[in-house]
Amino acid sequence: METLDLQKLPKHVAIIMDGNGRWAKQRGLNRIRGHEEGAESVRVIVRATREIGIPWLTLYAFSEENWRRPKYEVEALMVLLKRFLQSEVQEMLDNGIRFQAIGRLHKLSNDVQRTLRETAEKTASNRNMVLTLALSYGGRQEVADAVRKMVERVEAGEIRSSDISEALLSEHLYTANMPDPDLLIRTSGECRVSNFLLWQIAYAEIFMTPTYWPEFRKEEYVEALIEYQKRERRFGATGDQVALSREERDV
Amino acid sequence: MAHLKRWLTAMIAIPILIYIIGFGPRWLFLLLLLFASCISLHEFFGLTSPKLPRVPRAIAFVLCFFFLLVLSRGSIGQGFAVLSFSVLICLSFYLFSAPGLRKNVIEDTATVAMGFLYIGLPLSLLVLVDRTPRGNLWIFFLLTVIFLGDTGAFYCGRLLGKHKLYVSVSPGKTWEGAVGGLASSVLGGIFFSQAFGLHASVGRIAVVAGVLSIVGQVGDLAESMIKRNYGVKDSGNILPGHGGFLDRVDSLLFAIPVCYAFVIWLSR
Repeated sequence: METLDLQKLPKHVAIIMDGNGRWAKQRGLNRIRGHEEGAESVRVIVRATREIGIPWLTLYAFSEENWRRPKYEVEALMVLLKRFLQSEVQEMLDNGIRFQAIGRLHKLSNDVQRTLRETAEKTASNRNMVLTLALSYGGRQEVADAVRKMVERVEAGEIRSSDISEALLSEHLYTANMPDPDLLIRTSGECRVSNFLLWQIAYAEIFMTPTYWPEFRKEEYVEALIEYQKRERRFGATGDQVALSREERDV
Repeated sequence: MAHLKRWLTAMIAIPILIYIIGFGPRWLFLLLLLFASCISLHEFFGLTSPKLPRVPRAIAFVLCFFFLLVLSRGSIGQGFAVLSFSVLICLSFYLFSAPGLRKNVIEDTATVAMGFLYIGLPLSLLVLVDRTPRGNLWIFFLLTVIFLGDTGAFYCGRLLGKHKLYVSVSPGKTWEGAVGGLASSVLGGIFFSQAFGLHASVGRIAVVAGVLSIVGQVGDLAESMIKRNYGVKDSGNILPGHGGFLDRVDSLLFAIPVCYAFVIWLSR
C-alpha cells in the first residue's frame, strides 16, 4: 500500500464541501440530515489534518450564493455552525488549533458573528494549525473588496497606483496572512471551482472525487494527499528545471 | 386482557415509529403522517357528523395529502392556497348536489375545515419540526413526553386516584392521575434529553416537558369533551387495547404546535 510521505505534505489544503443535500436525497432523508452528517465529516477531517500535521486547512462552508437556499435550510445551517463551534472549541484548544472565518461575515446574524468572534479570540494564541471557515464567501467578491480597499488607499494618498502588484493585492485579500492552497479538494463529482479562493488557487493541485461530503472521511482524505504527492508541481517551469532545483536544494 | 393487548400493540408500533421517524426515507414519514391524519379524521367525522357525505370526507383527506406535500417541499405559501381552495371545492360540491344535501352546507363545510385545523394542520407541523437540526430527535422527545404522560396518568390514576379532575367532561380522570402524568413526562423528558444529548440545560428541558404534558392533558380533555357531546366512549377501535386512534393522538395534536415553538426557541 502506498503511504503518505510526511516530508512532502501540502502546507495548505482547501476543501469545497459539496454533496450534503444529494447524499440526503439519495437516502430519502431531508437536506438537514445531510448537513448534520456533513458536520461530522468536518470534525473528522479537521482532526485528521491536525494529526497528519498540515498547518492550514480552509473549508468552504457557506458561499455568498448559498443565501439563495430556502430559508429553513439557511437557518438550520447557521444553527449547525454555531453548535459545531461550541462543541469543538475545547478540542481546538487541546490540539493547538487556531480558528478564523473569512468572507462577508457582516451578512451573518449577530449571534453567529459573536460565536465566530469568541471562538477566534479563545483560540488566537494556538500555533499548531489554522482552521479557516469561508462563510458568506465569494472569490470574486473578495477580489472586488481588495481592489476597493487599495483604491481607497490610493485616494487617501497612502500608496501610488504604480505600487499595485500581485503581492499588494494578495495583502488586501481576506487571506492576507495565509499561504496559497497547495491542494484543492472538491467532493461530490462536480468539476467546478464555484467562486472559491479564485486568486489563491492559481497553482493549486485540484483533486476531485465523486464521494459526497458526508461520506468523505479520513481514508479518502489520505488518498487525496497521496495523489497530491505523486503529482509533479512545476509552477510553469519544465520538469527538468524542477528536478534540477530539487537536486540543488538537496546539495 | 385489554391491558395485555395495549402493551402488545405498543411493542409493535414503537419499533416501526422509531424506524420511520429516525431513519427511514422521508416519503415514508410523510406517509405515516398522512395515514395518522386520515385515520384520525375518519374517526373525527364518525363522531361528529356520521352523515357527512363521501365527497366532503374525501376532500378532507385530499387536503391533508396536498398540505403535507407542499409543506415538505418547503412552501408554506402554497399551503395556504391548498387550504383555501379545499373549502371552495367543498362549497362547489354542495352547489351542484341534490337539494336535500344543500341544507347542511355550512355545517358540513365547517366540519371539514375544523377537522383539518384540529387534526391535519398540527400533524403536518411535524414536517417543519423534522427539518430543523436534530428535528427527528425532537419528535421522539415529544412522543416520549406525551406517551409517558398518558401512561403515567393512567397508572397513577388507577392506583392513587381519589379526587376527580373534571367529572362533567371525563368522569374517570383524577387529579392524582394528572399530577402523575406531569411527573412522568418531566422525568421521562429529562432522562431522554440526557441520554441522547438533546439539550444541555436540564431546567429548560424540565419546563418544556412540563408545558408539553399540561398542554397534552388539555388536549386529552378537549377530545373527551367532543366525545361526550356525542355520547361516545372510544373514538374507534383500530389499535387493539388502545381504543380509537384519535384517543391516542389527542394529546399529541395539542402538544405539537407548542413543541414546534419550543424547538425554534431552543435551537437559537
